[in-house]
Amino acid sequence: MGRDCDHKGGFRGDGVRDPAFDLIFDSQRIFRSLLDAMANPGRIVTLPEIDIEPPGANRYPLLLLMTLLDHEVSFCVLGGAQTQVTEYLKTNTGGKESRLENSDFILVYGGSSHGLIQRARVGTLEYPDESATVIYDAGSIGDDRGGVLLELSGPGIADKRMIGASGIEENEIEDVLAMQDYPLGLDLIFSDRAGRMVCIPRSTTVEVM
Amino acid sequence: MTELSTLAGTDSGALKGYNFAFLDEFTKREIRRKILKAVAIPGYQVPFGSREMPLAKGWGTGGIQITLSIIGRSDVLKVIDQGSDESVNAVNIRNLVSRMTGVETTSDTGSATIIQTRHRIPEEALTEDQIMVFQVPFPEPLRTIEPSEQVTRRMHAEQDYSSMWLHLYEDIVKHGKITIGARYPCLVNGRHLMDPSPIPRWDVPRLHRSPVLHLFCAGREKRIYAVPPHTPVEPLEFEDYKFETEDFSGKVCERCGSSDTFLDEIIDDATGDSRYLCSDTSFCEKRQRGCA
Amino acid sequence: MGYVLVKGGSEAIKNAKALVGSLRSAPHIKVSQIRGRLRLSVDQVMGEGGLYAPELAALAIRQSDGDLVAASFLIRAYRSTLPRIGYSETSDTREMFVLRRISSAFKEIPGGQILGPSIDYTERLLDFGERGAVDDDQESGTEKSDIPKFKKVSDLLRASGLLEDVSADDETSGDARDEPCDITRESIRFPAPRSARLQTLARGETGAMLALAYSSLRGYGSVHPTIAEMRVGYVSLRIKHPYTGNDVSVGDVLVTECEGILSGVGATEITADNRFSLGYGLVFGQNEKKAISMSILDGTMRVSEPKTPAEDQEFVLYHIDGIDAMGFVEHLKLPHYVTFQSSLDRIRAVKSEEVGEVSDD
Repeated sequence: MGRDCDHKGGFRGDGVRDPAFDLIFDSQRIFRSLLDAMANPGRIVTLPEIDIEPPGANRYPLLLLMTLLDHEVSFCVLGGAQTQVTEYLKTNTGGKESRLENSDFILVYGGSSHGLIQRARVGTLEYPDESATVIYDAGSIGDDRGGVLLELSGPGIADKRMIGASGIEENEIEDVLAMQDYPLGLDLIFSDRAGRMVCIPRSTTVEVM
Repeated sequence: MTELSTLAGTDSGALKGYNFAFLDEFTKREIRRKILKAVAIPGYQVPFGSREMPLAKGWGTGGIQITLSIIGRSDVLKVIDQGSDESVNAVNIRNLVSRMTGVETTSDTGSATIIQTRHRIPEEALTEDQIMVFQVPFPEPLRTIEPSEQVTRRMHAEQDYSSMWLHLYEDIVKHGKITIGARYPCLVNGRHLMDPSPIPRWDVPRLHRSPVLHLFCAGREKRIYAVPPHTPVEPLEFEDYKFETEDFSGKVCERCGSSDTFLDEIIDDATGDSRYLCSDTSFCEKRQRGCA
Repeated sequence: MGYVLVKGGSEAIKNAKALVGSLRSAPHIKVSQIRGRLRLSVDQVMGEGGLYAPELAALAIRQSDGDLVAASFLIRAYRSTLPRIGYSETSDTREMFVLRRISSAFKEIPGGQILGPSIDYTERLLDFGERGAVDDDQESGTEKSDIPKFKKVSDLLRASGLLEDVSADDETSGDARDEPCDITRESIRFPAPRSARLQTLARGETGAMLALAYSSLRGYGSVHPTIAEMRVGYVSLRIKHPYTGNDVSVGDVLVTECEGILSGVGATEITADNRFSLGYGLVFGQNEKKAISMSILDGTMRVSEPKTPAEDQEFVLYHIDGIDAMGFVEHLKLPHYVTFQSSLDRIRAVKSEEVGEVSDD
């Protein structure tokens, strides 16, 4: 259990918290965007502009994690500026860094975990919620400039939705789809450089086009 | 004695000494994480570390924890109990949220962004920009036939709902009909059996492929579950014994004349006869004014 | 008409609250008076409220007009607003400043029996002399530092190989974890680890636990412990300093601890490896009936094949919480017009079917 949070400033890590992030109101706004996206898979939702200064290029996936993490949950970062991003998240959230197979949240840079994702937790039949949420740093979402094109259907989708995303490898999608065994599986969030986000929970049926 | 304000964290709420939306930020985070999992697995009950609220258990402590965890400054809140905004419990909950957040409240279904409810879904058509929050006394639809949590959890894991089907069958054999009133068990997304909270059967079909996100929470029993928009919600029924909603045929609301809404039955003191009024008071007023 | 159909719910709530005030017919009592003269009520509220705060517990008792479950509820609700800023280190009750210490297992125990503050040994006569008596300040007693520390009676039994090891006891859940479970942060699961069972018991409602423990003693079960030791006293709470990493004391809490040697009616219950097992109770404040009940229920819930209510983990742990129980029983006062209308519809439908069948014949 974490012992490094303080009630006033929120968290106490080794470094200094990013002052641009409002623990109460930014968390709430980002959460609502995320809830909207998770309840409507494939809907493109735009995150609010918050000028945090994390190491590495894309700040939006980190805004999501700053909203979700605290000392009660664990995370791991794959690829990218792994070490600096991990430190940044620990400092700002108190979240516990952990091995991929135990992580509640996984942040993947570079569009692929190179097969590692297959070790992520998918839950158990009695507790399917004990599964990982995976956030992918995507290049761009919503247009069809290269990248993957997915057809989605299921809860949250009236009929069908098409979604394109660049910067995520098709192999990675295939790996994740092979793990989905409803109600077991992973819940995915794609977060791009322009602040656009799309969710694909395990309840969604996905066709790679 | 320690000052309340120093213990309670930031002073950004509407009520001095308490955090915005009462709950501390770690609690909100936990509830938010659980809500996302609930949305990802429609109808499945996610356990969470429910907190004691300044409301008695059984009086909406689950619903209020959801509302306080999701609400922001730009939200507009409506709270109903039995369809009415003026029920004492609805008033109490609305006042609490308003004092703890300063957000705007309304009785107009159309202008609310979050609607917390006990026992009803508003009659007015809801839109995809709204979130319904249900107060749930019994999250476990199988509890009436199996008291043990360990056993019912296994039944959901194995999708073994045979004892519920048997229960319905025996009901028909004994009474000639399915006699479940409110809390009618439904299958969500073809996988998880769900207690839709004690809404009348009248409201059950309105959950099916609705455009709205429905969040359910039982504070005392520590469970969160959800029905996302456009999700199949099917009441259990047999080919030859169909699910039936409450029958109000031939009855109309005395105030607005409506014949297509759920009605409250009032026994007349003088004559002993039954009279009928809309249960959804906000909708009834709109009809009276000719707005709905 | 009903309390939902009329407009003006807000007004009605205000009036109802004002009426409660009008029934308070005597002058205001001070929080310090409640703390000083109703100390066992304060202790009970701290325990069931799950927050060690005597001043706030006394305030809650006054605000709830002496309803202790309602007072515990105020404390719990307030507790929800407090962020968790750290975790204490393990406290060793051997280090306790003992106020009271008895054993019913041995006549003589090392260090001796200390009766301490107790009315156990006095006749229960209503004392009419107390009526109208003025406060007489009691002297505050011995200095803490004069009191030595005591070994536990259970240590002696364990040293002689007569008692099972403490850690050997999570056979019912198979949940081995380093840190104790925290039922205020995660929803309890069954079979529940012992730490979750003990925590739930520690916050349980005194009367409910008393009734269930009594049921096991009386006949619905077979656990009938011998009290190895029950002690009341102050235990120091220590946390790791966030910067220096050193242990620092953050204060003392008054607790009652009970260790019961589990035995069946008339015969001791002996584990597979020929040792006694121990039922454990630890509660805030001086609340002896609850500490003893807790040690009994800790024992009953370890029975491998539950046959009685007190042996069934789900039955005990789901039903002893006073705040849960009070809220849900009292919620029946809320309007249920819609659900009842739904039930009326069904019974009328079934009745009309009956009438239909008769006329068909």
